[in-house]
Amino acid sequence: MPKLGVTSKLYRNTNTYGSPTWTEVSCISDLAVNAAWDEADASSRASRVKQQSKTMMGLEITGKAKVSDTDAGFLAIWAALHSDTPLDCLILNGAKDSNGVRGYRCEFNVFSGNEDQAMANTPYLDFTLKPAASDNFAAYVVVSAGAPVLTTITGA
Amino acid sequence: MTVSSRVLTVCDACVAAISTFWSPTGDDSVERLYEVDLDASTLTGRKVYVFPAGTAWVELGTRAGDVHDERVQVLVVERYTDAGPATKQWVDERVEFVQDAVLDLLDDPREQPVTGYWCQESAVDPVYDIEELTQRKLFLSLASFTFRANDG
Repeated sequence: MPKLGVTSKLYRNTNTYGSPTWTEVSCISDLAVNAAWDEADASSRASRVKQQSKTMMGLEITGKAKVSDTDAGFLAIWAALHSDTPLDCLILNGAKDSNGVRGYRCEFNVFSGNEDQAMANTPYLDFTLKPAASDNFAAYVVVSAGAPVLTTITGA
Repeated sequence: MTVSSRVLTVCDACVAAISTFWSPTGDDSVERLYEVDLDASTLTGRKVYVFPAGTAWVELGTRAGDVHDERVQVLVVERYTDAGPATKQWVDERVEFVQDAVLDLLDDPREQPVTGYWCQESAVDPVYDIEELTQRKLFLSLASFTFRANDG
């Protein structure tokens, strides 16, 4: 079966970091995971081909959530937008119990929330997530044996 | 009777909204139908018929649900019973009824008479059928609505 964006998942943790309870935020429409390394020049006289080193990886999530007065997922994003409390999220390209599904787990801050209230619109909140300062480092995830397996993206 | 078809639910909501607004009495009525056989010689009162006209998927709404359209048509008919041709004032009053009790009522995005839906498109065409009016003394007006919902 082909993978589809509509069957991708954004889960939020409603329990502690060490003992997570994952609840899907289903009011999401479009979402994009943007992982990109900063580059540093590592060229030398040994080669005339420029060489680049990976330094730090940016992990930015942009998405749209359907505005609601009652949807718990939307309200969690809205609350995080207006506080310093990060959202512990599992962002996957499928269900969290489907083997082979991949993505990231990270404690995100919500850095922007733009709501177009044009008269003909159904309002959606355009939001941006970036990793928060935390001792719980971002990890990439591969679902294996029916559960997310986390691998921290390590430093030096 | 409660129905589970989306388009029929929308039709029934339209019937309820018109009925609340208009409060028909005597031979006047508003109801949902699939077909109607208009016998101009026996028609009494003002009849408002609500028909399901279509249903369509539009696009993905969210990961949880879709955007879909339900199309409804509303037919307003009434026979002119006095002698001679229908008067201008009599037709004026029916045209105004269609505007106030059907068009402006059902396509109002602020009040949302159909819960969970907003009116995406609306039109009245014809405002009146000139052949029916002149040949059978029948006022006949057809309004069409597209109600849209985002179930995500």
